[in-house]
Amino acid sequence: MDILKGMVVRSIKGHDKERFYLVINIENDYVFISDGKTRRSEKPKKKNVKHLSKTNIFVDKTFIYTNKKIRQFLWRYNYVEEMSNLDE
Amino acid sequence: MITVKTKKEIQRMSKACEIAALALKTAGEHCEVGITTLELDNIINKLIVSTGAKPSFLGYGGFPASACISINDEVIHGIPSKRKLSSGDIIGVDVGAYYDDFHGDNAYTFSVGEIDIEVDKLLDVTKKSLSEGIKMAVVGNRIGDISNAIQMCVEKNGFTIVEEYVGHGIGKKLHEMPQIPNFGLSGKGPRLIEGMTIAIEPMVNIGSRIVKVDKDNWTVRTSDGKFSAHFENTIAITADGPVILTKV
Repeated sequence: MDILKGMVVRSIKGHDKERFYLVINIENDYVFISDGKTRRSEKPKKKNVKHLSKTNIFVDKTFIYTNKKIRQFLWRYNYVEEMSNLDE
Repeated sequence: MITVKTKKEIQRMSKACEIAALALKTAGEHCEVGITTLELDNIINKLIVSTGAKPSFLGYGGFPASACISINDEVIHGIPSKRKLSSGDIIGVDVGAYYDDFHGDNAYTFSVGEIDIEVDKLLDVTKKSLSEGIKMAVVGNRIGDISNAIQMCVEKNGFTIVEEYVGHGIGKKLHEMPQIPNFGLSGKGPRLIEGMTIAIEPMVNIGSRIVKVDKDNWTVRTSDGKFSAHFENTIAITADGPVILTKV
């Protein structure tokens, strides 16, 4: 199974290691990911496929890629990290 | 979009689930020292096809076999091969069947010969976490209640949850909405309503929760090489409580 648009992926390299993102575009070996917050949909992060872990989590085909919708969708996956940031 | 099934549709779907469950049970009866995972896959394929059903996973996203068979540190999506089972192995078998327009999906981790005490506990806890999750699958609860019940059961026993792979809705499609993480907060997520059919599937590791994908682009294994277990049932949410459809 390849990384596809609409798939939730997890960063495994970089300062954002372990954070979940949504794939909003794919070009060659690079994917463009957004979490609707630190990396917004209008300026997604370009990431090497090798630095991402796949998941079996997808958004619906009808999903609208707005920052709010992306944040809402990813919240349940990123909330542990976000809660621990609040504690710091 | 979450699809809700009528009683009649659930009845039709239960046939696909029964076939998937029968295939899984049969595979379990053959999980012995010396058998290869490819032979197990053939047994599963023959059984499903003999009922007039189709293996849901064969060709799904390009998957090359009828069942996902994952050994020891392989979490899920293991591709059947000529590897022979040895005593002390645990083998996760994930089987889906498509019949009369509906899918059924279930998984079980079998032990082969004598297994380590800690691995035995892993199997018990993962199985228990699935039943704790199922107990919360009642009308009016939320997906987060299922997720949280699984997480609590696993973490209080000192094991870790794989977060990248989650349970899912199931019906005319193998993977439907909603997604059912095996971790989360109670009271959050979509509300459960009568007629929803979902597959709950905790994946639990002895060591690190971090997983990686092999070069075959399918096999998911633990990053530290420690064992992992996987159990799954397809459930219907009914007014009388959760009904396990993948029962023989």
